[in-house]
Amino acid sequence: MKVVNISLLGNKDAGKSTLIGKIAILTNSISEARVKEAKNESEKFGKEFEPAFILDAFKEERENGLTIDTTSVKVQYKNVGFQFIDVPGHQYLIKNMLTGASKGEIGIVVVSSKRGEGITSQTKRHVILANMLGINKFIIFINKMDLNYSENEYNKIVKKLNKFFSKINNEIKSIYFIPGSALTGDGILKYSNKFNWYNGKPLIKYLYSLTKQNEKIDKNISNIIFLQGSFEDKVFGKIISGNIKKNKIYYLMPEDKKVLIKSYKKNGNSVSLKINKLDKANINGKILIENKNDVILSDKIKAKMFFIKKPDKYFYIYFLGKKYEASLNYKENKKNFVFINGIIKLKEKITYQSFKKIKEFGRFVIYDKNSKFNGFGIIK
Amino acid sequence: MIEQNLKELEEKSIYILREANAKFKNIAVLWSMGKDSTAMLYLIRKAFLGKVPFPVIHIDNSIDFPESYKFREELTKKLHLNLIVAKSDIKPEISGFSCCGANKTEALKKVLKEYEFDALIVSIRRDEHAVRSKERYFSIRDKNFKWDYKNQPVELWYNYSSDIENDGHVRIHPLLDWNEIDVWNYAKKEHIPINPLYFSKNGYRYRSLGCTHCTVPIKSNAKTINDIIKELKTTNIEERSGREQDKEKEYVMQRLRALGYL
Repeated sequence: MKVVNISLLGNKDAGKSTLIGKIAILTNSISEARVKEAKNESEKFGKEFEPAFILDAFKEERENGLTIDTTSVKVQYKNVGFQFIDVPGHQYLIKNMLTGASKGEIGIVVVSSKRGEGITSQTKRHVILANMLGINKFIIFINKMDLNYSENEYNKIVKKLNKFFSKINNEIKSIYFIPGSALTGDGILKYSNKFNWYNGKPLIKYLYSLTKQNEKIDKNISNIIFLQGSFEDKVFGKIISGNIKKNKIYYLMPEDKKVLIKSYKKNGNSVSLKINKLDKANINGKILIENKNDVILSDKIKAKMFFIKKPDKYFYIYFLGKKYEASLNYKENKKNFVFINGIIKLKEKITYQSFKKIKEFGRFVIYDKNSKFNGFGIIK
Repeated sequence: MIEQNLKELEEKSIYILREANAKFKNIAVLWSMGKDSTAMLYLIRKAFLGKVPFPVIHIDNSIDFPESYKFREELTKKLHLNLIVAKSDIKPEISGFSCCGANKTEALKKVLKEYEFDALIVSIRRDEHAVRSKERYFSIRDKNFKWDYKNQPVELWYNYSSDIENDGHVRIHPLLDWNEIDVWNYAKKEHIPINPLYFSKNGYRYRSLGCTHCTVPIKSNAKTINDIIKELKTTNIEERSGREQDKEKEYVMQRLRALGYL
């Protein structure tokens, strides 16, 4: 069965973990023992039953009522599997949110409709980051509607978010808004009659229809294989695009050297190759490409970047599994949690492509000058 | 229970194993003769041209089931495994936490130090326990085997962290995304030999395997892999419900893993 990855998004206390926990219970996707354990622990904290405890398994998460790290639960609906990826909402845990969201294909943005909560800068930041990471389908779950069931409150939030989404304008394909309550379950599989004013579908139906949409694959890109090291007389790799052809000349990049694939064995896109005239010592992170024009070879990269801590002039990037020294001329006021459009310069040339054309070749991880994770970049 | 696409799961696991091979110098595999770590040996053969090119470690506290020991000898011969048996002691006050926690971890620490392994392939899965579900594909351990679960490395896309601190090591988790039923479906498809304890004898079988002191069998008449798969599709009981060490105290799994237990 196909499993689709869905990342939850939204600021702290919006109800992300609670929503996944409730979905898991309503669809019978969790063992009785795990539900019982969550119930028992909830009672110890003076609550009737906290579905979030199914996801938040660390003692510190339960004690403090928050999610520290990303986790996931698989749920089946009709003939499709959904993997709901939970993420922390706290700003300082953004690196764990990025780890989770980077795997998402669809985003569920949870927004609290409670007075005093609602859309925050962290909600917006999550959406922008998820969109940068490649998510272009969103369902906005306007949560905690069990507090007021107000159509007015719901419409106010929808209006604000529509405005926000129109400003992002980055290849977003679908947006659905739905009212609901993670605690009561309204809006997940169905609606109670308290939502008679709402004419749309519940969460599960929109998710199902989104998974049925097929992504267009660009068939015009030649065969590209990303290399993963060697073993005995073979070289391992992952096919990024196209199909392998035996006895055909490929270019080893970035050195631009001609090699010949003599034979290969495939397990899906994981391949082992026999290549002649290849120095196997240093091939990790390099690529084999059929048509050199499908990638760009340069030491300068134009990218949109997100920095957790304000950027240093010199730092590192990880691109296709290899670390490179980088520099960025950024003259504006340096702050934390900043989005920068700029050109980074590397100490050596690499082969890359825009994220839009080949996503595996259009993204990199950013580390600061002390090799600590500091963000990521998407190549324009 | 979701049955995922085996080809996709296999492809991703092979990718993770080959990444580990590219990034680390001295890798070993942990084997308990259970279904997951046995399936892992077969995945390793798929990834590495039919061979298991790493030493295979069995942490042996001498109280495993006799069927497990027999299975160990047979499969070691069949697959030409480079088997390292790491003996762990049993202390007089046997109880789940201290037995598994202290004893097995000590034995593992000794082996890692002696052979200078920098990476360990471990067969845990997310669906086994909510705490395991928080794990990374490449998970760092410090020199005391501590798991810093509140501060895990970032794993964006297919980038796995391989920066180890002094004398630490990295746990490689290629089976994280596999469900219990996926492992059985794979065992069936690939004709993987399975420890006979999983199959019913006298109306009982083991769904999850520990050692003789802490593992409780379940009522079942499942005698073949097909029977087990059928049984799994109708149960709502947790896989590890027969493992006493999980129940002992609160947050046992979290504490055991944070201290370095598998």
